[in-house]
Amino acid sequence: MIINNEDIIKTAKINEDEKKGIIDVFVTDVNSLKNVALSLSKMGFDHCLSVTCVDYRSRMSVIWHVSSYSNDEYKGHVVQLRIDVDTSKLVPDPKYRAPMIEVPSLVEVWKSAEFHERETHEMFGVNFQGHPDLRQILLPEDFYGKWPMRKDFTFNKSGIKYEFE
Amino acid sequence: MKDKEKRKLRGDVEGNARALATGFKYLVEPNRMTLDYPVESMKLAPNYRGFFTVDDKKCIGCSMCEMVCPPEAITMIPRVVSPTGETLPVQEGASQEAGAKPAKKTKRPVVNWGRCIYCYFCFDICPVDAFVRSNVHDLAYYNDADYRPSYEGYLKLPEDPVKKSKKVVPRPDMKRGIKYEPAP
Amino acid sequence: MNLNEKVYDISEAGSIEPEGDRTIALQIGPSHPGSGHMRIKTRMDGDIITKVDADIGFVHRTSEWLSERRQFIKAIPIVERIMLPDTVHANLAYVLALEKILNIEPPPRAQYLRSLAAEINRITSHLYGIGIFGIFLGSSTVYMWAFGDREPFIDLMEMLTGARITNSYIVPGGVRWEMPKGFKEKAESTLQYMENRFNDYNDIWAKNPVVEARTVNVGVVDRNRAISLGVVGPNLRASGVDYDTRKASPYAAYKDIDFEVPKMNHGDSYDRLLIRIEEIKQSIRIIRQILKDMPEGKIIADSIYSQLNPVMKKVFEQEQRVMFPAFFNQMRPAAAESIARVEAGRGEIFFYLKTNGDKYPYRFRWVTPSFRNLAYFSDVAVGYRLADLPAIYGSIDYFPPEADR
Repeated sequence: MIINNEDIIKTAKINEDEKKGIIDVFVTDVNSLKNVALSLSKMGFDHCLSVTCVDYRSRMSVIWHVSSYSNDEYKGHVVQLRIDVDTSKLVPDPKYRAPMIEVPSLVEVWKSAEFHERETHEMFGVNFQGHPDLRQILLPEDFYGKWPMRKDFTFNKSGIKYEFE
Repeated sequence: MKDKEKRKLRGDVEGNARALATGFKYLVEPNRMTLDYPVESMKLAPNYRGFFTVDDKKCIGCSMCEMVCPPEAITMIPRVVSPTGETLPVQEGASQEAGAKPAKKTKRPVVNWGRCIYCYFCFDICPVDAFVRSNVHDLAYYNDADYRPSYEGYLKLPEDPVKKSKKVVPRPDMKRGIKYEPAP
Repeated sequence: MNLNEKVYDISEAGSIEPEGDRTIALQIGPSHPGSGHMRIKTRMDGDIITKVDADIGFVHRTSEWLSERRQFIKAIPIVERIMLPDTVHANLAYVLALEKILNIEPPPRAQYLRSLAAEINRITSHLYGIGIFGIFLGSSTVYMWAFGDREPFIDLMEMLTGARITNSYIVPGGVRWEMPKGFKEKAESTLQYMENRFNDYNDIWAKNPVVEARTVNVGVVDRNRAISLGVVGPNLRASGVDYDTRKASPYAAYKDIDFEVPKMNHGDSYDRLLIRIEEIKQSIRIIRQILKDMPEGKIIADSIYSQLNPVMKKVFEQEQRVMFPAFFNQMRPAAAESIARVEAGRGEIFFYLKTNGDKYPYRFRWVTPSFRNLAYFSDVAVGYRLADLPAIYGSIDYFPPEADR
């Protein structure tokens, strides 16, 4: 067991896959997410590789991949801190194509997550509560609220072949 | 850690002099690496990925190349097989075969050169190895329609546009990095 | 919080600041300030930078979206086109993630050939970075030199793969082409040429007092700050962090190869310049070892080779060219997830791949080194003069199309 912190073991489901190099830490309660992140950070997982989101239509799971620069033991491992959000009960918001989901931001724990969370916000419509500067980063301004990386996003010109006459 | 400690600049005369001397050395003896194209042009290795065509006799019309093509440059066009084993356009084939045994329908790939990225995935997925490679790569067309040849046009491998130029091959060189020697 | 209002607020673009604020807004870019398709929004107090906001996305090409709507094999050219100076690494990272899902283990010779291609690519990538840094500081000599010296290595890649930059060399199970005859000799003389050139590079560039004056003590990032910003690659090691993915979680043939990870202590622009030259030296050492120790054997895994039809097997024996089994077209990996980390020239590439048994990837997350080095802009340049900004921007070897994806 690489993760031996008792707080994390108590609050999260841990699944260590040596072969794929992922340690999956699945947090079931949103309120304990920040505490688990803090415990991981104290253990030595000091930077965030990626923040992403996977849309399963009925639920969305937000994933933080973290690893360590300073701790030799953890260098070769990537922890996948994961939380699921139920999307079926969200109230539609007329301003956006689909309602946003809300999860706490972990920028306070890992400063390196800042730009990744901004990207996930504009692509998936994840509202990271407590993010210091939640703006768009890659997409143009008029694309805000469309959440293009969600699976229900359709683009009627997809797959068109450009033919010049 | 010496993070806070400020580094000192050398700022020496010697360093400046050495930089100027090196610059002067290359002013007198420049190591030009460029090629005087199109007076000279490179003879490319046989494994260079350039324009390619398909062997009409070998192709079985299985559409694997169309499926694998990442930029969707390959289109399969319908053809019919003539009694001599060659493929003909559908209308032409139908009129010839009137009264005789029915024409066998098949398909052949055509590449839109405006989309092709020369990854050669089509080349490698072909179950009968029907594609024919060339190392011609420097070709330009006058208008957009020429990028999408007909099947007959596609079957002809394009000729090297700089055929008459002096052919050279790159060789590693201790002084210049690359030296161009006349091709054997 | 109304997010819509925030989005349309062009806060830095010449907006009126409260009275008494003596700073002015200065926009650098987006029309190519040097090498970047990006806009650096700064606030200046005199010529001291007080705030930097990097506005990226001008060359965003929706690559993640595209790759999630295509067959698995078609993602290989897409990942390459995002990181043009680091094509082999991008290709390798994607194939590593895919191989973990497909449970394919490439044979040792293929592993060595992958490392060989990756190291040649690392040299070209660093020379590219050195050249761009040169033109940022106004030294067009080193720009021309570095781009010229990149050419022999690109020529090596052309000999190995048949294409100069977009090689598409690595496929699940191994590599596509065997090393051609005469490659070893050509590689060895190219390496010798590069080693001879280091003296000239030192004289005119790295040890030049003018360059030192522009870069020493500029853009200093200490170890803890580099870790908290999460920067990657040579920039991280220039700040004194001993981290290299090739050592931390070895892939390809790096388990068997003996090499050092160069490390610097000060973390200023000058260290970020020197470390690239040191890494080229290490890459030369690695290439020599690979050419010496390359094991014999097949270049493709048996599980792929056994699926080839007789025509393809004959082609493999005659030309040493691996053809694709039909399986590559109809890959439907079972539901699984995997990650891949690869040390590219600019830093660590991280790919997260999720499959669900369909013919397209369900989720394919790309994190490129330049996107992670973006943290440098908003944090490091503050407090330095405007004239130092090119020295900082150039030294981090930032590649906008790679960050924007």
